[in-house]
Amino acid sequence: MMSEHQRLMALLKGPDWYAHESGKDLLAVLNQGKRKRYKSMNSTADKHILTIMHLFDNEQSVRILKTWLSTYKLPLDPYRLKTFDQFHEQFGKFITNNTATIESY
Amino acid sequence: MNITVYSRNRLYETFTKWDVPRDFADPMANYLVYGYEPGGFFTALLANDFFAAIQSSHPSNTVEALKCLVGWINDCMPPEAYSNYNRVSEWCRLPDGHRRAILEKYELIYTEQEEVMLALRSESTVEPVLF
Repeated sequence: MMSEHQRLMALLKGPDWYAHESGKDLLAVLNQGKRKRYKSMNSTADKHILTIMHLFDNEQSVRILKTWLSTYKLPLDPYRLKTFDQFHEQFGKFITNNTATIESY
Repeated sequence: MNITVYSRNRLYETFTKWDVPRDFADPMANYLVYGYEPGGFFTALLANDFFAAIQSSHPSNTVEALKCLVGWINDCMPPEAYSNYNRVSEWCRLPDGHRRAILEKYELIYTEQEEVMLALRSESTVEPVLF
């Protein structure tokens, strides 16, 4: 859970900043060379997804996830993320109906 | 049912595998995805009614194209969608979610989760060429 200060910082710096900060964070978890690093990356991603859904609107949230997947090439597996169903429920229709727009993000 | 370009291309890939011409592929895709009535010829074909199929066939349909389509039906089409008139009309009446689940089960289209991930990854996809 984010502190009020962290929440305010994230809001002030905006979704792009958050996308890169969280992307680097996830990459660091993935590259730490420990066993079960995929598992810990997925649980870190779960926390970030919950924060994103709480802080940002549809478009911004989708842009953040797209940055993780296309810029940082994070190997996120939808079936291993606990929050993916919630994310899909909230943004799935928006994403599948706007694939061309999302490509330009 | 709304499918993305990724699922659409996945479905059309199966037609290219069997060299099914576009004139045959489009009604089949619309029938499977949206549950549109495929017309007299295709309905008879899907219902295994040879006489009716020949009677309602357009003069430009060739035996070669028909062989390709039958090959595709045998290989790729979900059994729930063909074999008699009852199944054909039931398929058209199925709710979108059920049709989607069956198509996903036979890997003709991607699951919604996979579609979301493909769209977010901006995976490149090429529309299959049909003749």
